Amino acid sequence: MKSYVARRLARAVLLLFAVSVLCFLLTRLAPGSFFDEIRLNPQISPQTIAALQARYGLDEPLPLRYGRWARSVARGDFGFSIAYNTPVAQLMWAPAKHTLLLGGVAMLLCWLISIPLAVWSAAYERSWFDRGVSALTSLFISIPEIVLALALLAFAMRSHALPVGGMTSVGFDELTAWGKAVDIARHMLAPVVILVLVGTPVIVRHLRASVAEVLHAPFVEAARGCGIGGARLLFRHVLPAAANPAISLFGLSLAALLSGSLLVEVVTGWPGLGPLILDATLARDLDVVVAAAMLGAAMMIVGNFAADLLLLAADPRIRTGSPDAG
Amino acid sequence: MNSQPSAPATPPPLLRVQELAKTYIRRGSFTQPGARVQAVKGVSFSIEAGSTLGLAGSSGCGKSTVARCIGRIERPDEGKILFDGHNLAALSFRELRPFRPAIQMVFQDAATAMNPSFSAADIIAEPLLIQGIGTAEERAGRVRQAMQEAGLPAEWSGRAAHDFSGGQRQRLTLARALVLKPKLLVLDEPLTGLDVSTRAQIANLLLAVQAAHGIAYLFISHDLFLLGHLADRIAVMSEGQLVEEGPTSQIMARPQHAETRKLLAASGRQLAPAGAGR
Repeated sequence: MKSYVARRLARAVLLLFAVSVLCFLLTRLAPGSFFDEIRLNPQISPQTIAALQARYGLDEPLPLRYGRWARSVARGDFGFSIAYNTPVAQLMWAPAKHTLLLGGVAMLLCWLISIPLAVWSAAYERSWFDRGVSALTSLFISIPEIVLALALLAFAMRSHALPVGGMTSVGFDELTAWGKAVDIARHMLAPVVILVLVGTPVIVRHLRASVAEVLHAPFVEAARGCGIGGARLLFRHVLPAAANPAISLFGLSLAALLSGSLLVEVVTGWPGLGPLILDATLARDLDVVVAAAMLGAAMMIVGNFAADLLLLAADPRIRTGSPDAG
Repeated sequence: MNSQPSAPATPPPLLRVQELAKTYIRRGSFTQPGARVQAVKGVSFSIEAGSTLGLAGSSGCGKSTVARCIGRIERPDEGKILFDGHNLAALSFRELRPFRPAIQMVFQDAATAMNPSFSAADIIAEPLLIQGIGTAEERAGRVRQAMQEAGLPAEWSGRAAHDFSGGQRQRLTLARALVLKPKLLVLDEPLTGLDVSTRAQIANLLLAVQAAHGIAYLFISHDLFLLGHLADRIAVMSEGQLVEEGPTSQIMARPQHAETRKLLAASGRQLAPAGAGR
């Protein structure tokens, strides 16, 4: 077990290194530079621009620049943002927390809604409830996220039921702790609803299919033959046996915690990583872009690893080969 | 369960099945219309306490449906299943619960008949849990006892079902059935798919368990030769109906129905390389 974790960690480090080299190279090879806009200004001389480029080391060869960037990662700065004139880590810390809050709440709701929906619609296969769930999930899978987001925004604007844009109201600092929580929750409602509408159907469909399959297994009949029925049959006998695809999906949704909501954040004006990364990309503030990509890769590794550990814990069939079968 | 309505001179049989019928409705699709398949029609027989009735028939004759109706995994459409004076066919899932311990089932494919995410101890203890029997400690004791009775070392209780070999898995399902101390065991092709020596071991185990506890068996098989060794009486099914029934010696020596003769000939031929499955 220990050597397994060590092997996985070593592979993760290697993978992150490869991702960093690729990200770094590809962003530097892309056309355009942070100083392109200033270059259009006739009042700034080419000498000034060359001096600026030299100051940020943009005139050096690529291997040198990568080395400098790697040292900055080792220091915990994760590069330097030219646009904000600060280390990237400092710049990304607050938006990352906001994104994590939004993603975490949305993920929790997704799973709390999906599991009972999927289990019950499999248990009452072909019933009106099942057909209804199936129709709704098909509908929301086929509507693009951006359309849902715009529709909900339009509704919020016209009905004035929800605040639009940002995370807090004017005068947030004067509110009590409870008032602050309510204010954030109200601002979060629109992006969370969009994320849940987009995320839930996928989980429901996968889990429903595997639960329906397990429900036809002989061991479920054997359990019924022992008088086991209802919720106990569904949640103690069937769900654990059907959980594997859902656990893999859970790993993916962990991986998407910091990257799954970026588009929704941009559209609804949530002050998370989404708007920051969009601006950085357009402005060619490259270290921020690379750091964001690295963050996504790291979360993917963490999510997959968590899913593998959960599978190992949940399914004795996967544990085969381990000496401690008892 | 000791209420016996107007006890006659001879004790009534443990199980009396009367005019059992079950029809499945095969769901149609866009291209195929739905269809009604009558799996069992008008089947009647009885089993004395502690004895074995062998139910024989070729595949698709409805013998498994009879087993599922008696184990009440299915609800029969017509007929009575009289067990200890109660008609099980008329009871709801909830009402059946107190009767479940008395009738237990063993399935053909032990690998799929046990929850893959449970340990052996969980698999055997679950029937006790659902019946609300005993404290955790008492249940653990009964699990160990059932495993020993089925010929499994009690130390293996923490293993998952897939860590056991084919024959051991069938012993595990037998332990699950025995843990509730049943009066009737419905065995649906329990030896099919096992290799010859394992078949003999499990068959001997079943005989020993019956001798020790006086459990009645409804033993379902397509192999008349095997039933000739295990059963006191044999009933033969064909196309959903019972075509012949009698003491084992009589059925084996003087088969009356064409289906019985066919099964007898077939099981004679497959004697050497047994375990052809269905």
